[in-house]
Amino acid sequence: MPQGILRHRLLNALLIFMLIGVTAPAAHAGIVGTDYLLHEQAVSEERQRLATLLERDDVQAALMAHGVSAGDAAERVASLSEQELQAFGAQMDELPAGAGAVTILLVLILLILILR
Amino acid sequence: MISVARTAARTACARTVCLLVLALLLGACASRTPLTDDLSRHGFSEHGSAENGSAGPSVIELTDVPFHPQRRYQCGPAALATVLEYAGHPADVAQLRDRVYVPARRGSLQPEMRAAVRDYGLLPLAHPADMRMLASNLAQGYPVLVMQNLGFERLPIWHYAVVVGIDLEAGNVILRSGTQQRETLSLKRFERSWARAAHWGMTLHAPDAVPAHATEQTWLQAAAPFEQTGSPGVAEVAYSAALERWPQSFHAQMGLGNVQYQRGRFDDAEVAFRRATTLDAAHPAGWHNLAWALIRQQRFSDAEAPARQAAAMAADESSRYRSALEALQAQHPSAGNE
Repeated sequence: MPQGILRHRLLNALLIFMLIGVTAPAAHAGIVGTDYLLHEQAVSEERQRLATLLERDDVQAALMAHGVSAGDAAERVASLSEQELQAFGAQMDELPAGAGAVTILLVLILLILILR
Repeated sequence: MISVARTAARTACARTVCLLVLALLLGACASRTPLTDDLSRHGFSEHGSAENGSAGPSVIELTDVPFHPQRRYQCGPAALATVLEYAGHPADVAQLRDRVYVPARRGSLQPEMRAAVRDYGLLPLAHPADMRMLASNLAQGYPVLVMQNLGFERLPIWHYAVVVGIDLEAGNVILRSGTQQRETLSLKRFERSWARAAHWGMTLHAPDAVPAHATEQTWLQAAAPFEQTGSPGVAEVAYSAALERWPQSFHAQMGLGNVQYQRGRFDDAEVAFRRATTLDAAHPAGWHNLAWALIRQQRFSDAEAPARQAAAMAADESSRYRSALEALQAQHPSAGNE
């Protein structure tokens, strides 16, 4: 019986050793790398930037005037893929610094129409 | 009925596109050189201050920046050699050419340029689209390697050059560029050529000296690649410097722990990750990496609590944030059961 437990322990030790080895062969084994975290952060900031934009009163009013409900727009922003977010971010960066609601809105509506 | 709706939608779409084009044209009429306007209005004064630049100097020029004239299409290696030498790392242009020049493209790609800078243990820091920042960097002794498009939007002629001065009185930017040792371009012409290249620019920095224009994000993005390129020591110095500048930075704290883990210092990594979990307790990565630092020290029962935390925050079954708990469960099948 004690021998059985010992064998069990050994087997488990071997298993965990293998698991550590299998999940990531590099020195990084196991942990989540900094580059991944930074990428993740950049994507979520872009999404946040869009969501904040949608909350602006003037943007909401303009959305309404074009027959798009703010809820619909927010839903679409939440479901944008990483590539789509980046494409949108690039569009926004092209706009002049103090772009008004109308300009922002047109980019938004265009985006929503394309993705519909 | 359906086709009517579709036509209506298409018309609406076309109208939107027209409006968009119109809006962009109107936007363009407002000013094509907002950065120059901003610089001319504020002068070399620091960011955020409202005073006019009248009191300060109106010319900044780093006259002692060396010059490496470019050979055919090889502005990349030449510009790189210029900034590297000024940063105290004399570099052979021919050697750099082998490193960054892509013959098929008759030029050098930005990622290659950054990688070459890293070879010298320096951080290639992204420069913001900001001409006052450009001036302030020159004032601090950092020439700025920029990319320009000397052609048109549709027919680009890409070019790398080094900004070494700004003369507000004459309204010029002074560059080491191509075969010209001291090229002067009007502020507006420079800005437009820079804007056509998406305002790409970089400065070179020692890993222990975070410059004023660095943001937490740009600095860490410049530091992180050193983790993978076999110089974790540089990354560790850069993360420590980041924590001095931004003591509450979760990502810098994680970076520090990751480097220590990578170098086999699991006890140091444990301390770093513990602190990260206090900076952002809601982020699974801190708990996850802490669990692994403990597993690596064979402290399996200590690892269980953080592993559970990470797994509880994991988005789905396949998430990597479950791997520590799974490893522990493989060792003690009872660990997973409440």
